[in-house]
Amino acid sequence: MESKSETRELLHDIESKTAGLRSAAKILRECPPKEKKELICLMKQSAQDILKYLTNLEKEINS
Amino acid sequence: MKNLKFLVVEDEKLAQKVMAKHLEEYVVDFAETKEAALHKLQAADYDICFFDLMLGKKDNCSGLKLIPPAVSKGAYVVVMSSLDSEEIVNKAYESGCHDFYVKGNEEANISAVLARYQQKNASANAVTVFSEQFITDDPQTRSDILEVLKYARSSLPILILGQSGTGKTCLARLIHEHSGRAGQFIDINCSAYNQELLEAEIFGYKKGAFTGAYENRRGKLLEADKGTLFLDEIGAMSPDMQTKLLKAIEEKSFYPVGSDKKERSEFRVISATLEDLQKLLTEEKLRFDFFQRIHGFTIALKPLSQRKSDIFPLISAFTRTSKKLSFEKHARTLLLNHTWPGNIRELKRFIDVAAAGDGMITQDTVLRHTAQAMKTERQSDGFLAQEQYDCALAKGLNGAMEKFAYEVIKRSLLQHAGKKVKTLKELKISKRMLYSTLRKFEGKKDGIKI
Ligand SMILES: Nc1ncnc2c1ncn2[C@@H]1O[C@H](COP(=O)(O)OP(=O)(O)OP(=O)(O)O)[C@@H](O)[C@H]1O
Ligand SMILES: [Mg+2]
Repeated sequence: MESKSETRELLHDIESKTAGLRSAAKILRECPPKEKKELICLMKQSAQDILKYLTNLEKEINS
Repeated sequence: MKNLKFLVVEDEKLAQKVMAKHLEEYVVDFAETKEAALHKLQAADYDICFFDLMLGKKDNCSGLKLIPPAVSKGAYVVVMSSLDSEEIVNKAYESGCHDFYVKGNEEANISAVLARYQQKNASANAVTVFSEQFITDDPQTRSDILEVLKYARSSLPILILGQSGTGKTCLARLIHEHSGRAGQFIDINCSAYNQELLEAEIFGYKKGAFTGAYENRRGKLLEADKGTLFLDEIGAMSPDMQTKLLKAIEEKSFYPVGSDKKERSEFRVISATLEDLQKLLTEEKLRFDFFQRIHGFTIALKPLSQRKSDIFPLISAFTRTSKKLSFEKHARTLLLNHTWPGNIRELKRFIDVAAAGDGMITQDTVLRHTAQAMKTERQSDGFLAQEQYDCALAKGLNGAMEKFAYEVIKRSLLQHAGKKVKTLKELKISKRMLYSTLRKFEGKKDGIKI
């Protein structure tokens, strides 16, 4: 039971982070260089979070 | 109308950045937690609030709790969520939110939200718009203006057509006031400058860029940052300048004259012309690519003679703060019968003069005014064509005289099969005048033999 709600939470986190990445990717082109750097930094952070969530999700499924 | 103020409650830095980018022309406050948001809501008034529902890890939709206090302060409340389960959507609406969207497609979602916010306020606005800001009782003009105001909050470029004095500048200002943009309304009349000056005026310049550039100067583009740039008389802008401006509009950035430092500016373009648009295009005075970029929405203002029902409402508006006018028996009818070639500007001047005097509008005053105005108009039909007069208004008298000289020379050359000697003799002009005029309007062409 516990694990089911964990999975649901992970799925939500993944959904929310990927949506965030997608929105950020769309404005990337229009950003001036300085903002672009900042944005890329935040996007990389989000991408790492996504990777972490996916790894956890994999574990959940395998356990 | 005041500038729009937003509150965005969002715990993710990346999502905050995205919102900041999409709302960059407005005043935006951010909060990351429920507590910070409540604090901000207490301290200030916001027009539109965007709430993320889940604030922090393992949060149980605490964003929902922000809805009632925001609604009670009169804000338009939008919930943005990465969850769109029916349960969540229902909860959000039950708490009183006005709008809901699922994250991930911000550009489209945010403009849709702004449009809905606009619509909600539209009916309340209409009353004040037509009785205070742009006076009109004419049904078609009203509906055209309501239509254009629907786009006020977007950054869609707008083109305003209409004879001199029909209210183009007045309308451009109105659109800006309804845009909610934080910046200023900056207008520039393109026909008031020669091309070098126009470029310096629009783009600004660096000290020493040209003789007379004693210091750095911000141009209109930078002044219009987060605001509106109103380009009046676009037909007077050279094609070269149009190309430069097109680039600045598309890239939202530009180089001031003589500078290698790129400047950014988030401006919205409204342009206007009293010239015939089709003619400007066929004569290639207006570049097609530039035209396409500036005519997102086009509105044509009718001359006053085609909306006479506006004459008396305008008179009342013009005298609101001055002396009340009294009208002699037939004076009103005479005012209605007049064609007002100078449109609202002519009417305003007439009323201002009357109000400065004894405030009595007699049949005589009207007749004297109309006779004068008709004389000017008759002259337009005879020696001075309306087109020539418009050209002089657009280019200044000197510019118009040069154009007139060119048209006369061209016709004469055509009649003499291009024989310049005959044209020189017939028009009694010097070779120098003929060549410099041809060079000016046709560039270095020597197809025609003397
Ligand atoms: N609908 C209106 N309600 C109130 N005032 C108006 C209206 N239309 C025009 N005016 C007033 O009439 C005068 C002329 O209007 P405006 O300058 O906007 O005309 P225009 O079309 O821009 O003229 P031009 O082609 O010469 O630039 C201004 O003083 C303006 O405030
Ligand atoms: Mg004007």
